[in-house]
Amino acid sequence: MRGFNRIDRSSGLALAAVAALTLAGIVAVVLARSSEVAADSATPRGIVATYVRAIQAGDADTAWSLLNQNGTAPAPANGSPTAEPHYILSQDEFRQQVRGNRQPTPPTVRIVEVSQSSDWASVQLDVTHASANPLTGVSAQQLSVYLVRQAGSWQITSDPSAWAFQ
Amino acid sequence: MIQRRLYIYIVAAASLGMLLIGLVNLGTTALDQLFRATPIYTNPRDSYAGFGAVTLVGLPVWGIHWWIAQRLARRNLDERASALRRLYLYAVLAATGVATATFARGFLEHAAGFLLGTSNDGPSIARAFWGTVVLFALWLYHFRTAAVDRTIAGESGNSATLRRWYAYGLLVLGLAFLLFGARNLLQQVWILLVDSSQTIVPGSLVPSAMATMLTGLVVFGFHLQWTSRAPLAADDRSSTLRAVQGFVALAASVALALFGASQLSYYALARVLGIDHPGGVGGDILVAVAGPAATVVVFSLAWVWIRRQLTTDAGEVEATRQAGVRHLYTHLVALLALATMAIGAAGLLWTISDQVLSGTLGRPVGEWRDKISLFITLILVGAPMWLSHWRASPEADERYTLSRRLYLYASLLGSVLAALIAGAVFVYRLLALLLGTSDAAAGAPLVDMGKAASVIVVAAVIGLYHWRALRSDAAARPAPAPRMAVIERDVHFIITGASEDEVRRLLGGLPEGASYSIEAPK
Repeated sequence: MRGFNRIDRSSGLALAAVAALTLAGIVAVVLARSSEVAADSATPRGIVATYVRAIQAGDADTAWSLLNQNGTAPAPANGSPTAEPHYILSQDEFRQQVRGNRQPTPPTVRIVEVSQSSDWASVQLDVTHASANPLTGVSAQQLSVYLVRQAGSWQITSDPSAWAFQ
Repeated sequence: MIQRRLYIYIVAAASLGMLLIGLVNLGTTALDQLFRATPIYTNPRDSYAGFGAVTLVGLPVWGIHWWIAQRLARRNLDERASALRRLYLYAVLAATGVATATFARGFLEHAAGFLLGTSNDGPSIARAFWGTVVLFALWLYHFRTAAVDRTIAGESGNSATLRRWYAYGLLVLGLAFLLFGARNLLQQVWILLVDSSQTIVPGSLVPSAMATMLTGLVVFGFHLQWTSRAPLAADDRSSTLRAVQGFVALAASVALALFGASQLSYYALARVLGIDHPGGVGGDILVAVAGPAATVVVFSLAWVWIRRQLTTDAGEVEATRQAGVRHLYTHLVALLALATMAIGAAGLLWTISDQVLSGTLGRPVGEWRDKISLFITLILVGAPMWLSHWRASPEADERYTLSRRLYLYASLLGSVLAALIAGAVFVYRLLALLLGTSDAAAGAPLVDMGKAASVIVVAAVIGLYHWRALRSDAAARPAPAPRMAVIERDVHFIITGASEDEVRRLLGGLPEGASYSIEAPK
């Protein structure tokens, strides 16, 4: 493996571009972490952000505390769609789901849209996983999380499928 | 001899596979236990038993057969130079090379995620690292063995071809990892920068793309340097496989750059026409254009770089080949641009005919602005590219090249096939209209005929144009040199020192109408 040629000018530029892109990736992640959605428990955005981060950190108890145990949302005043009634997990089942589905490569989760009334809200999320095929890059899906305001605090009512955020 | 070689190398390859699977999985299980991680296999004892057995059987079988193979190679130069031995070596190099790249990518992804705080899965880092080390060690051993064989016994014919398949296969794989990784990384960086206030968690997309790009850089860079140094460079310079991999990479880069540019222009035009979600893309348009913009940037740069590499390659061989490479590039881009433009034109006419006929017949009309934006975009991207690369009446040195004929016949074939299929649809719907099928009353056949006619019109225009170009090339071909005056009288030769068969072979090249007789002395 000795005697390799010296790198020519165009290959040197390609190497510099790769280095610059790597650096840009590091800077972008650091900047994104510093300006990401705040964990503000007074807003639906903040509640959803706290829920997703708790799921990714494997903190099932924190995530569980943000769920409305009735499982369905009341019909919103503007007639927007609401979550279907569903089987409600016990806390142990939820904890097992969070621990059992943890993946080494968690997805990127972004807020696409927030719809909100006085006692009801929906947060549309873009969940993007790194694809198993490195050439295709990503596989994205959009999910909606529904919330209700009860006793002055927002709670998540839609199906808490922890695996979607892991 | 050949049967013995076959036996030795087939058994060596199979047992080496067993050994690798055993070693990688034994280490993975041990690391899971060490880190108290959730094991991949439910019961570690089952895993130790199964993979331990695979290792314990694979190691001695491979060791014995490889030792025999090495001993035979040391004693006999033919054995060392045999194509079967090279097949084993380069197949093992390809398999372990690809597997090493996959594990290394996983290691870089998990390690970068850990350092950037987007992932905290330590066992995954250790597992991928172990796999990388084991596979790389075996790859390195076989790489050095192949190098020793080349030095002692040389490499030519089938053996050199096998080496090229390995080298250029890994080169293309590395380049694909490098370019797609760079494209994905640029897209994710763009999204994080323009939309960081909407990000809940950055996830592992940046580390994943970064790992793909860096793995590709190492694999591509290593094999590029390896094939660019003496003596392989001189040996490969005129190789068809080297040129083919260059043109495959170039064609893919051109196609992807054009595709990205089309998508970008489509989003822009659709926005101008008042479409909120062009192509169904929701959310912020700045986020939506990240993918196409990254594709254009990365694959346009790759286009320029690969073209330069091909020119450099060609510049080091004879001028004819250099010109041939240039013509092949020009006609390849022209063909891709023509396809883009043709799809745009046919799609535009299709949409217009659908709107006009459906509106006239009182049928429901769908959304048209989105489709119009897309097809106009394809024309806007394809047309300038085609006009700048296609020359209807070039110089004689380009006019009769193989690449130009390939371009012309490919265009003609595509047009004829498209016209044929659309023609069949047109006739089918015409018969449906005449025979009064169930949907005829609502005017559906007429609308379908309009759509088919759109394709026929575009295919006919393109087909006729290229047919005329072929005719024009044929007409412009210089007339063959006039034949020399024919000898009317008999000519007698006296030939000695050659057999009658040799003389007949020599005279076999006489033109039609000429005759000869041989009178050999008794």
